[in-house]
Amino acid sequence: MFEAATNLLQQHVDEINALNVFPVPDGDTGTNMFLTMQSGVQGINDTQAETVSEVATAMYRGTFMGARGNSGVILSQFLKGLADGFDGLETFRVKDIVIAYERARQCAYQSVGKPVEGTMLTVISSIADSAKSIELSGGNLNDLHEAVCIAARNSVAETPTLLSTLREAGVVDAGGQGLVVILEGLRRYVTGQGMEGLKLEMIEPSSLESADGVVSEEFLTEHEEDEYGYCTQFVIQGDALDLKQIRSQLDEIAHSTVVVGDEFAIMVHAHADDPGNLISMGVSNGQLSKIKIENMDVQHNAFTAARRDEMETFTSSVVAVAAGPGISDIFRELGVSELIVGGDTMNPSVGEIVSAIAKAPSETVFVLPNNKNIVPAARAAAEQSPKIVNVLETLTIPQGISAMFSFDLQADVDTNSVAMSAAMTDIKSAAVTVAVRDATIDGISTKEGQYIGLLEGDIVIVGDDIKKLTLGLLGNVGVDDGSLVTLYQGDQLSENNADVIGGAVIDAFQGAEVEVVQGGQSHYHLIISIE
Amino acid sequence: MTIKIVTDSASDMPVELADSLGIEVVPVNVIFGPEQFKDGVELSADDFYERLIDGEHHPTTSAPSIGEVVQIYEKLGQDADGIVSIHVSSKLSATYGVAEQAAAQASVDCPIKVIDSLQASQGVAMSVIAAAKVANSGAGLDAVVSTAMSTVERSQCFVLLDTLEFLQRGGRIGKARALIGTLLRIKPMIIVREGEVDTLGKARTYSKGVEFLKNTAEGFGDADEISVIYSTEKEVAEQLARSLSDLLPEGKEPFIARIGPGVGTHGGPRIVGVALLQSAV
Repeated sequence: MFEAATNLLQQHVDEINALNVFPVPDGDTGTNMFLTMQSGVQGINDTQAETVSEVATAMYRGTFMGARGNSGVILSQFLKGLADGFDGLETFRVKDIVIAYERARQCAYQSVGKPVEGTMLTVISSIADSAKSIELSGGNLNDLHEAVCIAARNSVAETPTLLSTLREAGVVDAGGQGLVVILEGLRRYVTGQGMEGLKLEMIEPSSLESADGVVSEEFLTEHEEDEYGYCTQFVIQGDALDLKQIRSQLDEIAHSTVVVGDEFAIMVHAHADDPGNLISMGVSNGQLSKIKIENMDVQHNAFTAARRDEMETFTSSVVAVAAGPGISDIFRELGVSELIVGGDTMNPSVGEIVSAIAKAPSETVFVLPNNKNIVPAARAAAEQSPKIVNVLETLTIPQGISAMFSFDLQADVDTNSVAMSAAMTDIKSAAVTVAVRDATIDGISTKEGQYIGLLEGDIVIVGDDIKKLTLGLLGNVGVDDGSLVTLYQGDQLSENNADVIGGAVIDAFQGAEVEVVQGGQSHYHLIISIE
Repeated sequence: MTIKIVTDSASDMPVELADSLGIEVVPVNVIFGPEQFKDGVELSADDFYERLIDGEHHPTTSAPSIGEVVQIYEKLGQDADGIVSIHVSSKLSATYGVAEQAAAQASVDCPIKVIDSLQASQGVAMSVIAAAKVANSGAGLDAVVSTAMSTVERSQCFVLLDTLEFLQRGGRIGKARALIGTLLRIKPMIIVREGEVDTLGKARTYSKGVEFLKNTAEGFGDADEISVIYSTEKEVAEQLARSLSDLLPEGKEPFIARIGPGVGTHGGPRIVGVALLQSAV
C-alpha cells in the first residue's frame, strides 16, 4: 500500500520539484519526499510486518533513518503519528483513522520549531479535520479516503492565501502537493484502482471563485493595499455553519473580507474600524479560535516612517550625464539617482546640472560628466549648488560605469569618493565612430565616411572595415588574458553587425571575456571598455 | 571532563584536521539524479567538481537523517560528559533542525547542546575548531559552549562566485537575489549575514573580485584565524592567502580549505572566498 503510494509519488517528483520556483532553502521537495517514502517502504520490506500497527511502525522507523529535507522530516513525523495512532491494531476502522490522523497532526506540528501555516502542516491539519467530520457524519472508510483527498487538495490550493512567499511566486506549497500525491496513492490502492503511468493533475493556486469560498491571490494583494482600521482574523468552529450567511453578515460591518471554510470551520479575515463587531458576529455563529487583531494604521505609519528614515540616511547620491537608452539604463541600475541626457553634441547647461543636483536625494552629491567637454559645466554647477558637490572627472562613458561599480549607497562619502576615483581610472576606454570630414589629426589622415578608432579620446587608427578596425584598435590597446572587453552597441550599428564584431573579438582575444551590450548611443558605432 | 564536538560537512572541515582535533563530522547528502553520496565520505571534491561541470545531472543536497545523527550522539555519548554540536546556519540547511530533533530523541546520559553557527563553510569551522581546542584542554560543557557562541559572533565568511546560477538553483540565494539579471555581466560577491546569504558587492572581472575580497577582509581588521576557501582555483586561493597574512598574528599564515561537495553544490566551480575570525576587541 505504501509502496504503491511511493511509486505514484515517484511519477510526480519532477512536477513537485518544479514548485520550488521561489528561493527557499529546502531544495527539491519532490525528491526528498520520494527518498523518505522509499526508505520507509524499505523499512517495511526489512521486517515481517503484517498487521496495520506493524506496517505503520515499520514504515515510520524506515523514514526515521531515511528522512531527507524539511519536507521529509515532517512527513516522517506524520508517519510517526499514524504509527502511534494505530498502535496494537490488526486492522482499522473509521474511528481508528481519525485518531491516527489527529495524532499525526500533533507529531507534525511538534516536529518544527515554529509552525508556519500555508505549508504541509496546514494540509495535515485539514486532513485530520476532514477525517473527523466524516466520522461525525457517519461515513464509511471509502467516504473517509475520498474526503481526506479532497480536503487535502483544497488545502494545498489555499496555501498561497496563507503564505505570502507562495503567493508572490504564484505556486502552491510543494510539500503539501507531495502529501496529496501520497494520499491519492493510498486511496487508489485501497479502492483497487491501478496507477501505472498515472499522471495526477497538479494543484493550481486557488482562483477568485467565491462560490466555493476560495480567494485568489489578486484578490488578496489588491485588498492588502487598503490598509486602514484593524486587520482581524479568526476561525469559527461549529457543526452547521452557514458560509453564505456569515459572509453577508461580515460584508455589512467590514471590508476586504475573506471568508473560507465549510460547515464545521470557517476562517475569517477582514478589515474593520471596530474589530469588536466582528468578534461578536463570530461568537454568535460558533466557537472562535486563532483570533488575531492588528492595527494597520500603526503598521502603515511605521512603514512610512521607515521609508522616510531610509531617505534621510543616504549619505551620498550620484548625478550622471549620459545618452542612449541602454547606457542610461545601466547607469540607473548601478545606482545613479539623476540622469541628464547629454554627450558630445549635446552638452547640458550648468543650470540643468544644478537642478539635477538639487533633485538628488542627499546633501553630498557626486557628479559624473562622462565627457571631457562637460567637465567645465559640471564644475560650474558644483560651485553654484548649495549642496556639497564632488565632480569626479570621468572623461568617458566606460570610466563613469566603472566608477559606479564602486559606488555603495550605504557607504560614507569618503569611502565612495576614494573607491570611485580609483575605479574610474582602472579601465581603458575606446570608441569607434565615422569621420564627418577629411582631416589630418596627430599625423593620422582620414577621409569623410571612414571609420576612426579612438583610445582615451585620441584617434589611433583609421579604416574602411569596422570589424578590422575594431580588432586593430583593441590590438593597439592590448587585451590581457582574464580581462573583460565590453562592446556598447550604438544605434547606427545593427545587432547582426555587432554580433559579428563581438565574435571576431572573441576569436582574436581568446583569453579574455567579451560581452556585447545594447548602448543605443548615437554617433559612436561602438563604445568599448577594456578592464 | 570529556566534551565531544560534532559538526556537519557543510563546515568544509578538512578530514585530517577534524581527526586531529577529535571532531565528528556528520556528512550531508549530495544527490546526482538517481545517485546519492555522503558528502566527503563517498564523494571526493575532485570527483564532485568533475561531475558538476561535465555530468548530466545537476546535484542537490539534503540534510542527514535524524536517525543518523541520533546514532552519532549515542555512540559519542557512551564516554562523554557532554556533546556540543555546531552546525551550518539553520537558514541555509535543515541540518540544524535535524540535530535538534536528534538531540531530543537520542538515548544518552550526557547533555547535548546544539548550536546554530549562522555561518557556512569555514565560517562554521571557526566556531567548531575553537570549541574543540577548548574541549581538548579539558574544559567543561559551559566553557565549550560559551567559546563556541563567542566565536559565532566574530566569524565572517564571504566569497566571489563565477555565477549566481548554482546559488539560485539550490534556493540559497537569499538577499543576494538583488544581483540577478543585471544589464552588464558581473562577478557576484556574497557574504553570510545573520545566517543568510546577502550581497557583498559586484565586480566586473574575476581578478577585481579577488581584490575586493582582500579589501573586505582588511575592512574586518585584525583576525585570530583566516581560511581562504576555494572550489577549483587553488592557485588563486594561495595567492589571496599570501596577501592576507598581515592580518594574522605574527608568524601565523592563513589556512587553505577546499569547498566540498555539500557547499559546492550551491556555489559552483571557481568560487574563492575568505572565512575569518575577527580578533576579540
